[in-house]
Amino acid sequence: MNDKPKIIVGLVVVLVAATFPFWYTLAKGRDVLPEDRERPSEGSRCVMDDPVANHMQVLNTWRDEVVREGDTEQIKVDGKKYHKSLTDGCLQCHSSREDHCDRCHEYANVELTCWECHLGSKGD
Amino acid sequence: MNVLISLAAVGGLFLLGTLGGAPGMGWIFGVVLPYLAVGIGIGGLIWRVMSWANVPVPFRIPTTCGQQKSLPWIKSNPLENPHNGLTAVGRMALEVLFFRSLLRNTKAEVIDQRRLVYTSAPWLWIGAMAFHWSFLIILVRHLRLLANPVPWCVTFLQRADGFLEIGLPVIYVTTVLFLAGLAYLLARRLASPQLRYISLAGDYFPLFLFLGIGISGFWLRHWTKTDIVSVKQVAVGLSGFSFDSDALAAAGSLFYGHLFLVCVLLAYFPFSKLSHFAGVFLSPTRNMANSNRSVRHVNPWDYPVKVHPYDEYEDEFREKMKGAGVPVEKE
Amino acid sequence: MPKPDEMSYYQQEDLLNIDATPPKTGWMDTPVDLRPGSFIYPGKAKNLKILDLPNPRDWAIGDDDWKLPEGWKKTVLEGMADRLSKYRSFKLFMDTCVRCGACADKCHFFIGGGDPKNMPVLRAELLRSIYRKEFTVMGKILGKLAGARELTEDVIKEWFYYFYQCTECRRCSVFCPYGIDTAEITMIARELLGLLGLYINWSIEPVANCFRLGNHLAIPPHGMMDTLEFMVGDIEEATGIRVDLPVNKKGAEVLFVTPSGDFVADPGIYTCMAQMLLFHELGIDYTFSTYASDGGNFGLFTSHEMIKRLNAKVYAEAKRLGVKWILGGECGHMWRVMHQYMDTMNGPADFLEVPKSPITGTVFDHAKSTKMIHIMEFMADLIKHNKLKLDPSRNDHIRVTFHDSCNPARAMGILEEPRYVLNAVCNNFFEMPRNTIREQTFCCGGGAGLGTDENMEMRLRGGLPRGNAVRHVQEKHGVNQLAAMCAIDRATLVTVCDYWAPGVLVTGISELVANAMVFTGENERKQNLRLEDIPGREEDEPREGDANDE
Repeated sequence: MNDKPKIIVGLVVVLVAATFPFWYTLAKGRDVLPEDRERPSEGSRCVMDDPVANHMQVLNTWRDEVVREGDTEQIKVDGKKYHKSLTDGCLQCHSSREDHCDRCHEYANVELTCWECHLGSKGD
Repeated sequence: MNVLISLAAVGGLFLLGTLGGAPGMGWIFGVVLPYLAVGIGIGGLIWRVMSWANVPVPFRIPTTCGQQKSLPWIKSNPLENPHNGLTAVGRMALEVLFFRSLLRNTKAEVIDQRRLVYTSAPWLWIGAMAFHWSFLIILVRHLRLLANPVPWCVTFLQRADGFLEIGLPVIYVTTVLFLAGLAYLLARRLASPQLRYISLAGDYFPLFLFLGIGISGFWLRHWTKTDIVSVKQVAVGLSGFSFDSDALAAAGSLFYGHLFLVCVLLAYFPFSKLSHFAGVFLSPTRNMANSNRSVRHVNPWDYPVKVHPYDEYEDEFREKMKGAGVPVEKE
Repeated sequence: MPKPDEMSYYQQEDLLNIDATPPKTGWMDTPVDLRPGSFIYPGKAKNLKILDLPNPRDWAIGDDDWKLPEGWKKTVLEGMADRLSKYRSFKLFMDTCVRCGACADKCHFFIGGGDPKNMPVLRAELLRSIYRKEFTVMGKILGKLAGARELTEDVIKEWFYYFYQCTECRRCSVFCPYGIDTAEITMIARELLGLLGLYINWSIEPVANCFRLGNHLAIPPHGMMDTLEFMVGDIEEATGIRVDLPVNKKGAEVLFVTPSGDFVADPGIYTCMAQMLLFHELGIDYTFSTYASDGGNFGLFTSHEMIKRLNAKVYAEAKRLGVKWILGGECGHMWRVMHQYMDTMNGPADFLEVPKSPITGTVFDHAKSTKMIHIMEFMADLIKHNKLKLDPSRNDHIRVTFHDSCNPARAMGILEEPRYVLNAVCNNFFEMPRNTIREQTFCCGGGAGLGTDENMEMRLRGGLPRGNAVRHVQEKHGVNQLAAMCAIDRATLVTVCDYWAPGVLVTGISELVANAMVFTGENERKQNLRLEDIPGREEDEPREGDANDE
């Protein structure tokens, strides 16, 4: 019994599956780079340190303080006051959900639950 | 000794990998080494599997673990004792996907100084299932970094895996199972004197390697919180052969430690016991149908052997045979 | 004072005090302890010469110098390379083990002895360590760190000791997630030892006998006639029926091949007598053969080539006699050979016909290529079709349990047929615990050529799991007989039961069938085939203490 052809077929299947990222990217032909991250429109810095790593925690804390504990006191950074709010805080400096949040979130496929309650873009 | 060497090796490799975060080193640790590792992994796998495929299977030697197919009114057990190709595939599926044989595991011990008893010992199976399945799901989940746009099934898996919605970012169930499974597999190897006795460095090293990959991955997601966009740029850049110096520089040392351990794993597995993942498919005691008496199996290297033919036998005993009334060919 | 080859030398408390703690030294640095009672004497030069095997000489295990041939190391390594290119099983099993240890406490020798080198995984590592050193890059570079070691004379001695402490029963392979079969590894290791002229006499002498005379026990054709005629006499005494004795009969429909143990050894002879009675009653046109006078094949315990050399006679004799198909008796390892090797090695049997029961007309399609069926398949079919007149109450004094023999269970899967037959002929049949029967059955401790008295310690230790299960049903259900369809079982389990479950006798299944069968023209049955009174039937005819007088 010569089972070599069967083994080779199996091996090819495994290799095709293992190299999926290569031929998928080749087939899609899309740009592999994200759109540029939108920088804040006003001021030169964010209210939080290292927002890329920490924004989810900060937003979560704000949510708990404002929604659950009713503590709506504004925070003060560099003498300027900000609402502890995604739409009334973050999106006052940043332009919109699409430009500011979704570019990275979609790129990295990080799903978020913010917009299940909040409305999307500024001014909506 | 084997434990410490393996642990030190994995630790050293991790530290070596973190060098990728140094200026300019991203090109080596983020581009050159990953491609090299993939090349060695794929080449090694082909070499390994062909090294088995090139060896014939001279005899049909399935281990039968259930009733054979014989008389029509006797119920056979095709998944434990397959009688054709299709049922053999079924048996293999159980073996590969659910570790059927391992599930049988028992523990034998003498109690009351005289009675030998067997108890079910499913923990090895549970630990192995937790580790292997989590590993597979984690691999598929990582496609969100290697493919753009992310295929829907990956997103689906990611959602299902994070269904507990604990932690921010969400902790995946497979992350926990992966690390817990590995911890158990390591602990049992260290705790049992017999297992410790048979364990080689080659048994501890992969465990530590996987643990290193798992812990650094956990760290990247939940603790240090790597710049995921840069990481994806590096990763999907590897998929599409398009590299960006800024992203390579921004990915961070910890990420390179993680990535380097993955590279080591890729390059190591075809040449180690980890090749069992391919070998299990080829195991003749499992993948052959027990159709021995209904379909003739041919041995490709069969050769004539010296036998004692009947004429020689009769020549030696003819007179005695005749005397005893046994019929003979030549009177 | 009892000696190490006697059962009474060993105290049960000592054997049950199993210490499975590994030694302080690593296994590569722990030399083999060649302890009397736990090894088998070497193959004698005369037997090797009969078979044209290399390096025939007389030597002893205790000798420092085992008189290995010139260039022995090269011989072994070339032998390994050759087999790595011929047996995928061997190559794969060298590469894929992950040392998970699931096999460890599945081996009867490890369970009963606790020697770590009797864990199947470590038994294989004895060979794997040399494979790594000589055939893998990692092993060559990293040496001991990669689990590799040099091939030395001490390694050869260790191989000889431990690969003759494996009965090739395949129980470990049932539990291995990769199906690694230690029997395959042991078979190859024994072949490698054979290249140096290292054999055990307990298997190589039967092989030499079998090659020359057709059977392991060196029964010449006229001797076989004597013993069969003696059985015909005993059958007549027990039943009043005089059965035919067809031997080397040309043109018979069926060639009956059975283990030679059933021609001479108690209790195997009763199984043979039972089969002669059955064939007579049904009028089956069959024949024994003095040339193919053993279905058993100790070649299986020697080398693949030797299996083929000894097995060739079966088809050759079937062809010479012009039979239509072959029926095989109750034997374990014989059925491994007949089922998994014979057709490949000595087929195709295109001169035979697909076995068809002359009584029921059933065509045994599952044996359409090999053209050989098992006596239990044949009997189960007869009973299913009500072709046997049975009075199971004749076996009412027997409370029987059934020992699945390793090879029929794990290399064939004939599990239900014997149970069907047993249930039809016995009213009191009790199964042993689940983890000790069917595919999880335990070896008798003396298979694969290890069933000799000089190996008594290992036989008793290896027999512990089976003996313990027998004692369990003895205590729980009053079991007094153990049925087994294997000639080696019928020889070795007698010892195991005497030691671990005294009071339990060993029997073949056919014997129980014949004792339950109502034969045409039989006398009023007062004695069974062992010429013992059947309880409850002897009082009809008062005897004065001369029941067994011969």
